[in-house]
Amino acid sequence: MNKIAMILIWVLLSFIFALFYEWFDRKVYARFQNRVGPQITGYKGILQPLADFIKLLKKESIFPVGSNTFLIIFSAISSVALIFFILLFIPLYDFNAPLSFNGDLILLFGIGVLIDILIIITGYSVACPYSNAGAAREAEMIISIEIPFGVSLATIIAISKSISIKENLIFQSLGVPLIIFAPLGFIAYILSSMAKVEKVPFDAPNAESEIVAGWSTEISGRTLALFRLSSDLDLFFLASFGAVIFLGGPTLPYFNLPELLFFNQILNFIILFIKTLGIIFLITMIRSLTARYRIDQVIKFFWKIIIPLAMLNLIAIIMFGLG
Amino acid sequence: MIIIDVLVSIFIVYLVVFIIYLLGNKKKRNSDTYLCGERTTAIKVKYKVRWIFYASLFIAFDATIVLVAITSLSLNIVTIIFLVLITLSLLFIPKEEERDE
Repeated sequence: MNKIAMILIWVLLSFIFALFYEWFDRKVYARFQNRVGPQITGYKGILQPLADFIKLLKKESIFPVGSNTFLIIFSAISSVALIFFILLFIPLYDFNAPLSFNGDLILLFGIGVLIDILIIITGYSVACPYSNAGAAREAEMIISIEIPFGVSLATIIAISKSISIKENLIFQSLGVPLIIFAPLGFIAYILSSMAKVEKVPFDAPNAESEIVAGWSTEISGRTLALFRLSSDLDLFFLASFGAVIFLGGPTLPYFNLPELLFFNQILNFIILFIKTLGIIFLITMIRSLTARYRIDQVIKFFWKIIIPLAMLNLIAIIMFGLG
Repeated sequence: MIIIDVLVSIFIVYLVVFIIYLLGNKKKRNSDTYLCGERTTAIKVKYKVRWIFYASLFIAFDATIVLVAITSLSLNIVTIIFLVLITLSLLFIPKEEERDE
């Protein structure tokens, strides 16, 4: 019963933080463009993402004739549920998360690919050329972005000599954050994360000036609400996961809080919150300062620049036995 | 025990999301696609042979990641040689055709 309550609290927290980080992303993005961003709903527009979500939830769903409605709805529900599930592995205030076992890093990587594949399934399930083109672009992008993402995880695993998030965190709390040993891995992680959540310059699968809204062109109503929520949750997951595996998560280097008192847990939570905010700020800054790549440019960029750099970092770690 | 925890967690998160979905507007209707009312069928996207190379490399690299992860506790010279070889495989990606701008 305790476990179920903890899972529900985690899901609620994930929901709140995902919407908060969307607001932060929109606000910062607007400021970079000399706009004010959302400001009507709630204080400084902080409730705008929630209002958008409820509005979409209350609109009717329209599907094009000939679409596989079941697959679209199933993909929408699954993409949100699976991200909620992998967020249960993120330790928010100490080394422990609701779910943790040896090998969870590999599970998270696998489910991350599965979520991307759900988008491809959605795109191909809609009888619309724009959706199909968006799905094809997503498929092409996946074969480029998952590798640097995985290689950066492999680098972390090679340094900490563990395939568990918890042990990885303990390793970092005893020394320095792993970004010191894996700066190229961190760059690969950030860029592939941006591509995973389809942020500019890697938003070819839903490029509005080319293919309307890509794979989500004909998605509407509560299905679209779920897909948008899954995108927000994915951004929150990738940023917090990056903060945990590269920046030490809720811990500070050489600064251990031995007693897990309530105050310490709050402090740890704030540390992780700031680190996650920092990663989202970095992602927003990159997307504000760059223009969209064509799909062939995205593939070339990842295969010819990012993958070799990430592999170089991994090989160097293994050869010199760092960590 | 952990398997039960994982299964229970998956069940709960699916249940929560399904409830959220049920809270939404249940009205559903079919319509023509976006193309100004013109009925279209799903298109087939043409693939170049080059994508097959990328896809093959993707599978090889994905397997590598799991391999490196599993052998992370006892990394040796064989792993390094394997990683170098797979990195060199990037050279075999066919040259891009020049795009007409």
